[in-house]
This record gives sequence, structure tokens and C-alpha cells, in this order.
Amino acid sequence: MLAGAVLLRNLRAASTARGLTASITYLAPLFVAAAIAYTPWYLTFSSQASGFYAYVGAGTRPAHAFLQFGSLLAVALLSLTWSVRAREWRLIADGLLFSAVVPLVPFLGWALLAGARGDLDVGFDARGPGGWVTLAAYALTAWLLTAATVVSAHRRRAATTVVGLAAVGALLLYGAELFFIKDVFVGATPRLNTVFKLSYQAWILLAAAGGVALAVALRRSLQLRPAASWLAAPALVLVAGGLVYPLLALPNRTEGFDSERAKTIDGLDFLARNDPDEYALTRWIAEHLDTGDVVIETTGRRYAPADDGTPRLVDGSVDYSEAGRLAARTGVSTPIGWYFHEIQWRGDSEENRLEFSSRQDAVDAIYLSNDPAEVLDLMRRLDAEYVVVGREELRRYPGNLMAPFGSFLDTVLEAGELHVYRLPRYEVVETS
Amino acid sequence: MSEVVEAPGTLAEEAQAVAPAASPAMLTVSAGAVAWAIVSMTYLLLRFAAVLMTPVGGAEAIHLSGAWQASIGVTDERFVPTLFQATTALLFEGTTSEQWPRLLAFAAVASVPPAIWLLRPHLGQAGALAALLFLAIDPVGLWSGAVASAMGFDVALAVWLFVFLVRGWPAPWAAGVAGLLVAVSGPITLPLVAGWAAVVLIRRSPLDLRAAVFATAGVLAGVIVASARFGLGFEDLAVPPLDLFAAGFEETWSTATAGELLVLYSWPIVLGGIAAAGYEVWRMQHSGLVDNSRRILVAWLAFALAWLLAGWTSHQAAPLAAVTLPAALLLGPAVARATQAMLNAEWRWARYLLPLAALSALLALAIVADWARRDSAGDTRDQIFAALWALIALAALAAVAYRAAARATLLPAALLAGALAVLPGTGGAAFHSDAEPLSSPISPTQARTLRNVALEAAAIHGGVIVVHADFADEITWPFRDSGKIVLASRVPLDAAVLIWPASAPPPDGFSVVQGEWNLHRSIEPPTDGWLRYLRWYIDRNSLDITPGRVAVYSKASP
Repeated sequence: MLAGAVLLRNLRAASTARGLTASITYLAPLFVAAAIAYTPWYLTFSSQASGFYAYVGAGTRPAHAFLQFGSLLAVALLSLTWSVRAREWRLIADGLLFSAVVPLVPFLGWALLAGARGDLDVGFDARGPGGWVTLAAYALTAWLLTAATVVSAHRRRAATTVVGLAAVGALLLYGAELFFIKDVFVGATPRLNTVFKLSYQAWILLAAAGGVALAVALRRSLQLRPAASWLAAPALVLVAGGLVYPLLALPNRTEGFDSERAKTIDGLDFLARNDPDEYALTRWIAEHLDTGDVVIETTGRRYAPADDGTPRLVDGSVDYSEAGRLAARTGVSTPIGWYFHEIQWRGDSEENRLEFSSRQDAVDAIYLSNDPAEVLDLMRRLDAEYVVVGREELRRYPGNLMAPFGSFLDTVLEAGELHVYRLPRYEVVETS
Repeated sequence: MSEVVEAPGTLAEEAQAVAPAASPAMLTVSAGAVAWAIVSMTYLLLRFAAVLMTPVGGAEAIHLSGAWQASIGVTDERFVPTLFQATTALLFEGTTSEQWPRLLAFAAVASVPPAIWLLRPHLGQAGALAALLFLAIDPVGLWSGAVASAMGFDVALAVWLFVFLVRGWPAPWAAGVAGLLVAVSGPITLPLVAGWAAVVLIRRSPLDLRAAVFATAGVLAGVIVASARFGLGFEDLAVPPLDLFAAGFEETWSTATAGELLVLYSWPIVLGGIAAAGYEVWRMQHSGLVDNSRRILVAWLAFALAWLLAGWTSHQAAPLAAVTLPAALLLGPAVARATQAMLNAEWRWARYLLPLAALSALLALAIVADWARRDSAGDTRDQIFAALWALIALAALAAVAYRAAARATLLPAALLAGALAVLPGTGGAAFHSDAEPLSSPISPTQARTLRNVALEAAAIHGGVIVVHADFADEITWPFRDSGKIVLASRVPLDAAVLIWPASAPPPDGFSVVQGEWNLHRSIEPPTDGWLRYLRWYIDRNSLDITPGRVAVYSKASP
């Protein structure tokens, strides 16, 4: 975009040759510097995105689309009332004709992509009537706003930026109805990241454009044609409806401004009230350990004693559990967090799955082994100095399954039945 | 001998003027010269007293430990390769005492009075003198300039850098030397560099290109030298001022926070400096006749204040030391101007009202001081009397301030209040800082005695000295030059002497060495209530001292 803007500006200010030269000499050092600055990122970046696909699932229901973006689209569309003039009908017609490619090309692209994978019929059927209505509404909005952008740009009006932003916002919503980026969520919620990442940007673009559109529309209609100001009424009603949230949220979240009952923003307040020992343990870790220190805490897998007394895995699901709670609450490191989230963020490869599984096994072995030498060896292998026996560990490794850590590790915290243990230290130091 | 006199009003008038030459036959000494000599001696003697009497503590204990480790070839993150740290490490080749590095720091700050003297054309004769006086009595600046932390050269370097930035470089290569020194200094110079850069950028001042190239080369050379750890070996890219700036937010260089140290020691100088900066900004907007040095000072103070605010809760004195430098340099000329205005002010009513205010304030203070001694506010009758006297004092001051012509007569009251707040801290920092929060946490001299006892016992019993691993950082300095010792969390078999947590159960097979042994001492700042705060002013020994108790065991005789 920057390159395009620079090129456009220079070509309009000078001859083609001079414009090109000026643009290249301005942009080349910038790009080189940017590439150098980003080199570490390029070298280490690995993306979860694994392809660009046509979306052939159920479409967004109109009620949902309206609830989320109705007021923003309505105020953004108000820009049509002042960015173009009725007497420019010929220009408007040309703009509409030219801009028709904006909704059409993505749709054709969708049809081709879906067809190429043999999913076209599924795509047509699965979208459902509501989905088609939403798609058509987004397409129409994107088309109208693009046409207004073209007309404004042709007339070199300041409105171009506003309607242009709104058009891009509408186009993002339209795009998320047709395509998705494949990632680890493809099985259950294929559009999850595509929708919410594009929606963020659409929200910002439409909000920026919509604010200006609403203010200018109101001012112009009141100044020039007061009778036409009713056009803004529906948009205003929607905006006013949206403002109910901040009005109600304040008394709601402050328990009616009652300082005694008000909710705190301290995320660990619940822990301090409900489990003071676990809270004390968490605070100790936060205060005594550095973020680089590695702490062994439960993997989240749950064990029970088998008939012969040996540990038996009874529940292997760890995501969205309390596993990794101390790392999350204090910032210290732990060898393994939520298994599928590790895969999500670090990449779904055989190598990673093996690594994460082996870490889970190692951490569980530290808790379940009866051999102190093995525990010490595993801790050193994981570069861990501390083992925590908190509330979650007592739940996940119940009975007498856990190793007697106190007999071979240093007890550095005792809070009720909860403990933090540390590797024994022995170091010869020279002082002269 | 020439005499420099100050005239009131504009900057040009603040600048020096040459008095008539003295008769060649008679040796005359001007009052100004005497004043300079007295204030300079005060500056130096206070710091020399601190060099001799301040216990090792705070950032100094950490950085001396780092320098010691570097001197014996041990890699230690407490060694931050500033020029001062490197020189300290070099000194440790021939001594084990902290006094030599401290004398090195003292030698550096001894150059501050002549540097301030050179600033007379910019601050005015009386302004420069007053600035030096404020620098002399600033407890935080005093302590920072007398102890051997990694920032030992910072105060002197910042002052000299300011001198050259406002007076110009004697030669372009001097900018290179300055760049190198800044790159191997601590963070106290950073606000000045940032302030100067801000002024240059905002005013688009022309740069001396040769000096800029030299300065850049100097900085690069400094970074290379620091990264090579002054020949000890390259480990990582090191930029000491930035490294120490960041470390100050994370490490505990002081028991009190930067905000608490401000409240305890230097708030009059800082508030005065901020007021003087406000006046300078006002003058910049209403007059074109503003010396560039004032712009740099204001920007310097602004960046230092930003650091102080950002590090308000960090446990360090460095941002406060960075603030008091420009604050004193701004406050000096402001007080000089105010003094001139005071002499010309209308004293008709002030001559009666100011003593009345002082007397009333004294009576109110006497009542409140009694509360502070008892650590509880008095009964209603006392409270009414205290409020009454305070109100009378305030009313008398307000009556003086009401007339613009008499307003300058309030200066003695402001100076008296400021002096009462600062001077106890000055005395504390210089003469008995072993009871001051400024020096805390302290590595007591007893820790060295403990080391001697441990060495003797180890020699008798034929084993190793074992120190609990929790004390790893604390024993580096007191146990320097003690041969091999073991850090362990469990008692090893070959232990002859154990230095163990006092709260831990006595180990089997060892007998306790009688005595109360401390490896460190923390002095808690009296900031948990205004009565406690006031009490500390009345009784400097009223603070809670938390000893770092340890138990000492030696192998029981068979």
C-alpha cells in the first residue's frame, strides 16, 4: 500500500520516468531496512496456516451478522448520501458497472475453488437461505461502497478515504463468507480464525468510516436538506441501541457501585478466597522465581491407583484444565502446557507430537516414580529446578502415587498440605 | 584576583563581570572566592566522610561482588562492564578493601566543584555556587558519589558532559572520548544525553559533524570494549548504561523504593528543581533571551523525572540521583534570583509576620513531634491546638504572599523548610549511614568477622566451609579471598563449618558457634505512616532493622 501510494503520488507529480526513479530511490532503502529488521522473524516464523480454501459450510445467519455488524454497516452506508451526488448519475452508473467486479470476482473465485475440489454442490446447499441472504447483503454493501469510492476518487473528493475504508471493511466481511485459511481448527470450526481475524479489521475500518459518515450525513442534511435527516434515523437508533451496553455494564460489573461487593480485577482473588494455601504457593513462586526458572507442575492427565497399587491413567484430556496454571499465573516456565494448544501454537508435526507426549510422560514420571535417581535425572533433563505439589497435583496423582519428594529434594515452601520442592544444591566456589 | 559579581535580572546580568583588579601589593580574597572554597570543601568533606563511614550495601555490595568475581576470573552477572567496575576489578588485584574503589569514586566526584565553577557564565556566579551547595547536601547524590557501585563515575561524568555540551568541545576528538565514557558508564548519564538530543532535534540545532562522528565512534568503541568486558572475554553484546537501566527495574539495589527515597531524602531539591524548570519554561515562552543550557537542563530534568516516575516502585536510588543533578543545577540560579528579589522586596509586614509564622509552625511541630514520639495522635484538645498553630502559620505566610511586592520575602521560610527536610538526611548519609534506609540492605562488617571465625574453625577441624545456597549472593563480598567454600542446601560429609539459616534445625554432629551472626541487615523505610515518618526525623535510630540472621555451626569434636 505504501509503495502504491508513493508511486501514485510521484507519477502524478512528475513524468513517468522521474516518478518511477523517485519512487524506487525512496522505497528501496526502506524495503532493505525493513527486510533486515525483520530477518530474525523471517528466519524463525512458522505458520499454522496451510492453505486457502473455498468455504462450503453453513453461512452466517442474517440475525447474527446484523447483531454484530448491522449498526456499523448502516452508519458506513450513510456515506453514500454525501460522497456522491444525484446529478452525477452517469458517473455513478459507470462506477457501479466498474465496481461490479468487486463482489463478482471473489464469488467466481469461490465457485472455481469449490468446483475444483468437487465441493460446489455442497457449498451451494450447505450455505442455506440465511447464509445466502447475508452473503448478498455483504456483496451489495461492498459493491455500493466501492462504486462510491470510485466516483469520489474520480472527483478527487476527501470522501474517498472514508468510503474506501468502509468498502474494504465490507469486503473483508464478504471475503470471510466465501473463503477461509486452513489451520488446526479445520475439522470442527474451519472459519474460526478467518472470521475473527478479519472481523477485527472490518470492525475498525467500519467504525472509523462510520463515525465520519454519520457525522457528515447529519450535518449536511441539517444544513442543506433538514427533511432528509430522517435517513440517518435508523442508523442512529442502532447506534443508540449499542450504547445500552456501556450504560448497563457499569452497574452490572460494579454490583451497583457497591464497593463491598464489587468484583475485583485481580484474577487471583478467587484463589485467595477459595484456596489460601494454593494462593500462598502461587505467590511464593511469583515472588521467588524468575520467569526463566522451570517448574514441574501437573500435565493435567489424571491417574488413579490400579488394583496392584501402580498408577493407572484414567483421564488424558488436558486442554482447558488447570494444567499449566502456575506458569500462566506467575510467568515461570513449565515443560508442557495444554497439549493441543502446544500443537496449535508450535505446529502440528509428528516431531512436535512426539516431543509433547514425551514431555507429558516425563513430567508424570517425576510425580509417579518411586526412584529418586530417576526423578532427579528427569528434572535435570527438563532443566527444571522446582517441583510443585499443589492442589491440582494432589487431585491428578491421588493416594500414595506421588514420590516422597521431601526425602531427596529441599522443601522450600510448605503451605498446609501443599509444597514446593527444589533440587538440592552443591557447588564449590572459588573466592580468591 | 578577579571577582565575579552577579547582577539581578536577565541572563546577561547573571553572567560574570570582572571587578576592579586588586592592588598588587595587597593580597585580597573576595567573599565569592571564600564562598566557593567553603561550599567546595563542604562538598568534598561530606563525601570523604561517607567514603570512610558508609557500610557496604545496596547496589555497591552487588557490584563490588561482581567486580571481585571478575578479578578472580569468575563469570558473574553482577559484573556489569562499566569503566568503574572494570577499574574496581583491576584494583582488587592489589587490595581486598572497598576503600580503594571508593576513593576512586571520590576522586571522580572531586572534579564536580571545578566543573560547576566552569558553569558560572551559564548559571550565574551566585547561581552556580547555590547549585553546588544543593549538590553538596543532596543525600542521594552524596551517597551515590561516595560508594563503589558500578555507577561510581556517573555523577562526575554527567556534570562534565553537561559542561562540554553547553560550553562546546575543546576539540572534536573530545566528543569521541565523551561518547566512549558514556557507553561504558552507568545509566545516570542517559537522561542528559536524551535531554540534549531532544533539544537538538526540537530546535533543529546545527550539529558539529566532526564532533558527532567522533562521538558515534566513541560510543561504538565503548560498546565493543564493554562487550569484550575490558579484556575478560566476550560473552554477549553489552551496553552498560542500558543494561544497568534495565537491571534497576528488576534487581533490589535498595530496601526502599525510588519513590520512598525521594520522600525520605531529596523531595525539597526535586520539587524546587521542578518549580525552577517551570519558571524556565515560562521564560522561554515569554522571552527570547534564554540560554541553551537552561533548555538542556529542563529537558534533562524531564527525562530524569520520567525515569523516576517509571521506576517509582523499583528498588534503586539511581533515578533519584539522576533527577537531583539537573534539579540542583536549575534550583541554584532560581534561588540566586529569588535571593536578589528578596533583598529588594518589601519587608514592612514580612519582618513581623515571618517570625510569627516560624514561631507558630514551631509550636505546631512541637505538638506533632510529641505525637510522633508516642506514635499516636494526641487528644482533641492537642489536635485543635496543633491545627490552630498551623493555621496561624499558614495565615501569616498567606498574608505575606498576598502582596506581590513582599512575596519574595517567603524565600527564607521555603529555604528553612527545605533545609530541615534535607540536612538530617545529609548528615545521615555522610556520617552514620549504617542506620539509614539509603544504604540498606547492608553487608555488615560482622559478616567479615564471621568469615574469619569460619576460616579458623575450618583450619582446626580440617574440612570445608559450607554456606547454605540461599546465601550465595550475600557471601560473595564478605567471604572474598577465603579460598574454596561450598554452597549447598544439604549438609555434605566433608563440612567443617556450616553457615546455615537460623530458622533451620541444627544439623546432627555439629555444635553451634555462640553469637548472633548476620549476613545482611535491612533498614525499613519509615513510610508506613506520617507519624513514623516524622519520628524518623526526630530520632534517626527509630527504624525497624531486619537482621539477616544465620546460625554458625562447627563440627563437633569427637
